[in-house]
Amino acid sequence: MEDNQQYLFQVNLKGMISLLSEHLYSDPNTFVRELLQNGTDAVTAFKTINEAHEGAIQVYLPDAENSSMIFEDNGIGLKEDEIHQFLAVIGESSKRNAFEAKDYIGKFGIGLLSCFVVSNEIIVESRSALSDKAFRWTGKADGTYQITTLTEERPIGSKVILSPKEEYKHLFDPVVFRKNLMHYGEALPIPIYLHHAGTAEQINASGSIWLNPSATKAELLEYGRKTFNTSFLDVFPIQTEAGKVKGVAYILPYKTQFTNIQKHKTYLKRMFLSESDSRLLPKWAFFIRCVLNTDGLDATASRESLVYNSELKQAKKEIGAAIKDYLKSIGIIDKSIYQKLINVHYLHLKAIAAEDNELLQVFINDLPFETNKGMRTFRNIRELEPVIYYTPNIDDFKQVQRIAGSQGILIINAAYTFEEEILTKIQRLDATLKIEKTSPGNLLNTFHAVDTSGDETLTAFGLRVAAVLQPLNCTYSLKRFSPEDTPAIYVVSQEETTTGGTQQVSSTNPLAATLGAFAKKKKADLPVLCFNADNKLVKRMAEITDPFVFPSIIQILYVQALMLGKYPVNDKEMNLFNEALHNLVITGMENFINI
Amino acid sequence: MRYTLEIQKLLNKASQEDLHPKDAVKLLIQAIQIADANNDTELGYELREDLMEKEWGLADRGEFVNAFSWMVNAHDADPESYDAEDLLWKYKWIIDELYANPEVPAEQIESILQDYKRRVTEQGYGLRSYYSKLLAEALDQKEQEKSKASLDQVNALPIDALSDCRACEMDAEVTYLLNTGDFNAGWEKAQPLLAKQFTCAHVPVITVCHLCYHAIKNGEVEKAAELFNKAEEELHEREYDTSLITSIAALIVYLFYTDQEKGWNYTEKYLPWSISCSVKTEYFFAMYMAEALKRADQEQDITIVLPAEHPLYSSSDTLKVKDLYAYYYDLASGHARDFDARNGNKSYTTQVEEAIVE
Repeated sequence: MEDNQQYLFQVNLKGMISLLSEHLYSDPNTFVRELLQNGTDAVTAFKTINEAHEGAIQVYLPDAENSSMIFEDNGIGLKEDEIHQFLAVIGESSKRNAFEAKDYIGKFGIGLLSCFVVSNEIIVESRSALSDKAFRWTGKADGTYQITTLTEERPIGSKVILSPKEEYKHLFDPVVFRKNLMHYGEALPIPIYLHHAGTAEQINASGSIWLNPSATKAELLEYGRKTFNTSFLDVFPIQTEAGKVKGVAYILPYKTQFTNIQKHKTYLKRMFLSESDSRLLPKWAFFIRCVLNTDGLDATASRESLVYNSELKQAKKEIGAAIKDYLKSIGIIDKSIYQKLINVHYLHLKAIAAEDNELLQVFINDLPFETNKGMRTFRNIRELEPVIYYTPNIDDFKQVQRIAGSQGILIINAAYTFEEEILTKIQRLDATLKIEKTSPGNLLNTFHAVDTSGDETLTAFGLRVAAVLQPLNCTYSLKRFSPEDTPAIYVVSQEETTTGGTQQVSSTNPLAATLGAFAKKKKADLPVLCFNADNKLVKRMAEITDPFVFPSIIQILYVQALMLGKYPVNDKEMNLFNEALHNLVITGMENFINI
Repeated sequence: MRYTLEIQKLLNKASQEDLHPKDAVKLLIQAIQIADANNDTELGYELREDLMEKEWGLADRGEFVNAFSWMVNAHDADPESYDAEDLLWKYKWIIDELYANPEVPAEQIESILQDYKRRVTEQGYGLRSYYSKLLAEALDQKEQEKSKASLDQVNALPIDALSDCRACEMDAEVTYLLNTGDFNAGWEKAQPLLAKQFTCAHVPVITVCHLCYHAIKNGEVEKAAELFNKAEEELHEREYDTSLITSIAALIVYLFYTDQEKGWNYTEKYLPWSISCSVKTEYFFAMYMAEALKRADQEQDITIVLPAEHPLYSSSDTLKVKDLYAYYYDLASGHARDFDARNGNKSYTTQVEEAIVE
């Protein structure tokens, strides 16, 4: 045996056909798309010879008289040698290397295989525009084919004849087939007629209104309503240089989560491509639904998505810019839509505005923020408040909310990262604003201090309270604040809360020793129980000296403050509360008996 | 069980695909506090796992060690209830975190490494992952002999469920070769990674960034440009992964060689990622920044928007190049002193000095 001999791979044709036809396509209906594609491309090819040619596709469904389906186009047709070459060599495409390749939808040479999913035999009858003779090609799923010359005269074009397999007969039901034909072919530029039991109907007569530059907004909204089953807020056109994308974008009328899968309708050279996210839209565009056609992007071999290449990325950039342009101008064009847009999508708008200064300045005044005084627009906040306070996390906000309310201070809950970003950015863009981050600790400092230096009773009171609070890991403070009926407020600094928790440290956990090195650099203050010097009970407390009654009352106030501040109250604290109450009850009973 | 419902709500929010991981971390911490308040250890454990996984994709891993130490305690108290392999996998992350903090004394790291070794052995795994940790640190310290010894030990042991993935192991080999100064050897070794035969969460993006840096330093202008394009492509899809900040800083050095305007754009875009991260990350970031900025005209005034937390932040958004350079040079040198004191060598200081040599 020669060492250098080259061998060729052997291919199991039957296996290959089944592999390609059954596994490449996720949906048995794919053959409809492939046939439409071949028909359209054939017409496009004919037009390169004869510009005036008016193409059409005719589909005849099986009925009582005829058990097979006929798919007929009046495109360029195939010559005998082309039939051998293109229909019988898998992976060979008549369109790939053609000069006008960019005008064709298909190019892989595997589309016809999808017909084997629904039919054991494919018959193609074709007469080329460049020949008088017509041929019939009969291909079988086992990989064999025959060619015969047709004796009768045929018009130029091709007919594909399929005999539906028993299990797929339902796909050829007129209602089902019509739906599929419309699904894929609605936007195709040549008329498609569906014939059944003597009737004929053009299924794409209404055309693609969304590609029509003179379509009215009402027409487009109506199309959107039918297509997505949604009454959209607004619609605007989209067009890009890269990828030659054209179409419309709709604004959803309801709130969407950040996770919502984006659903759009994408067409490639006006043939339906995909309903899933085609990656053409920037990922922040959750509130947008699009119907788009691209003439300049490529599809993957299964034709179910677009190839993610630099052209697509550029197109995506342009679409992003178009949406932003729309957002920037809509307030001037239509105030009511602008207002609705904000009401519904403010969260997404905030996320976008955090990254785009121009948009930020357009929207900022009308964006609503959650505050301790309810939802308020930024305009309202800046007009009423000399200093705008915000807390960067929800825990702080929950705490501050209670305290601030009674102090008449307004505080914004900037719990999302982008909300804090917006506030710091707008501060930078507008020097007249005064925006400050705050925390429960900061707020505590705004309370009126109480001078106890000359007052022995108050000083002693402070020491006694501190002694009761010390085992609870809490410190004491005395201030004046409103409302007067609140005896004490519990304030914990954010730095203190951590995921370290409290639990039995494992004797074999060497990490425990390192935790100090990872503690927050800002010194964490102990939680504070701040008493209100204006409160009646607190005033009385200073006079109580009973060694049982006093600590019990402090403990009850402590747990009450926890509950008021909506802090979790654990078993230990609940027991403390019960014990303290119990003590008070006992003391009360004894006093009663001793009277 | 009202609290579990509350936790579920927080989790639903935290798992929103396009929520910034920083926000997800905040929500998870809230959830953990609720679980802790209700003494639900199993849920607390699970939530801490989620938290660590989220933080792993960030430069700021503020809760990493706390959360993990808690998990070790929970696991040791009731080993049957928790998956040992998952725990050990996260243990590897923690070892990186300890090395990355110069405040953790060398003896503590040593005792933790021994603990890791013991736990790995008890679970019936080999020590390949252990030596990978030694290798990673030796590579960071550019200790060639130690690197070689650890690399040999890694390769002498069989792959098991705890060893680094193939992509990461190969990336370490590439780094080793680049550290020896042999760019071509590193380049060759990296080919399967560049061809994406092996990939993981961070490989090849980090490989590409570091190769690009070494390429430009070795005068391989074309290769560097090609690598930069690749890196940009990879970064495009990772808008939130702030843990890539040091690799991006290496790219910024490349840009200050080739296209300073773009270099400034990159600096402005990515500098916020370096705010609040581990000391080691900050060290490498600062070192690369010093190296990059050294190449710019020191007297030039530049307009750059710094994050408000940055010490050089001013509302005018203008500063002198030399001030920014001095800031990063001092930052890198300061951290280098701390690391060297801990590690007992001059490695980090030497790296800074070498980086800014003309």
